[in-house]
Amino acid sequence: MRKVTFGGANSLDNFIARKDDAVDWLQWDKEVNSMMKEFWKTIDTVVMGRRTYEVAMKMGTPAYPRVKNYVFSRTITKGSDRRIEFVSEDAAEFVRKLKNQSGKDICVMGGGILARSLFEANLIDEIGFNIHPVLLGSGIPLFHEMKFQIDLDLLDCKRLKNGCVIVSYRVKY
Amino acid sequence: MEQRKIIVYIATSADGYIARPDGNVDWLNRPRPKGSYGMGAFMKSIDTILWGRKTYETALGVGHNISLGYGAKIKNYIFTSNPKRFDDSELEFVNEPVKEFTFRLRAQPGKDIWMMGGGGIIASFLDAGELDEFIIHVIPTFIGEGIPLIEPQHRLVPLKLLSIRDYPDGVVRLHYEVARESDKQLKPSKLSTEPGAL
Repeated sequence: MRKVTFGGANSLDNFIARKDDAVDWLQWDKEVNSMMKEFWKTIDTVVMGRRTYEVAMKMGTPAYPRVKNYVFSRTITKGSDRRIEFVSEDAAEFVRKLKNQSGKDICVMGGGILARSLFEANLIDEIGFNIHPVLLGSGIPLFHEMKFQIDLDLLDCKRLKNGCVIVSYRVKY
Repeated sequence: MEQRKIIVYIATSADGYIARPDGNVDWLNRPRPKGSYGMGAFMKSIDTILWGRKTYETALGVGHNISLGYGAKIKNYIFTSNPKRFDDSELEFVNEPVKEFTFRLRAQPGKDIWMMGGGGIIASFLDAGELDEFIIHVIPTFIGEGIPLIEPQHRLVPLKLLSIRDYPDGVVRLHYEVARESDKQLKPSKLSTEPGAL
């Protein structure tokens, strides 16, 4: 079955953006770029929540190239970018259906409420962090609070030259 | 003589919490690999422990005698707004501005200092510029909700990664130095245009 991966760049205190969505603290370099390049080869579908979509819109990158882009929203049915399909049905149900179709892996972008509902439905298989060497103190968390515990298997941890640490886990269900 | 360092040595869940909302740390009760993540070597490098009042009371609540628990040679300070409430001659209860306290403490000869936490006292020391290092053991579990490592407040503290290590049980140890004023150079090489991308 297709894997659903979720992840992101976070601060050591686990925020993905400042309160105002700013990600000025993110570091990009060749090492991360080549890792991302390899990662993109393994997926053909991206799903994101409405809020992540709106932040991405502001930054000018609403759709990822060469993959199928889905945005979950009850209010938006059509956007300016034809490459994005808006989905109003229940996100967990929709992702469950996607998983049962054939294809490459599926990536959950952003996080927040979407990630929580997918965790609650046991649909996320792998998680990857790119832990940045910084404390933000406050901001937008990688995902929202959940009422239950999820145990993980460590898959990999690797130190990058720029001081970031890549850590990936498999979810134990 | 080398300056005594104040080191946050702590475990967090993979979602960044140090305890459940009520202070419970049941998720830390797991079999430890041989060597206990280098705890022995760390204990040899310190002679003082700093506690926040709530963390101290949580430790008491689980029947843990602090001065004996970590050895009689260890000096324990507990930060509280109401030192008179407590009566334990082996411990020192402190209600003093962070800078004045650390100035006194660092002036005394001794080993490094273990900042036990919790999130409130870590935040106070961090904001006073009095934390030197973080050694964080990331436990491979999401507890979903809880008390964050550092009490939330807007701040930007650049760190320098010193080392990482992973253990057979999936625990990852991250060791950071808090960047000094003089070498704070958080210059993103290139701004990202992909929110949330790894």
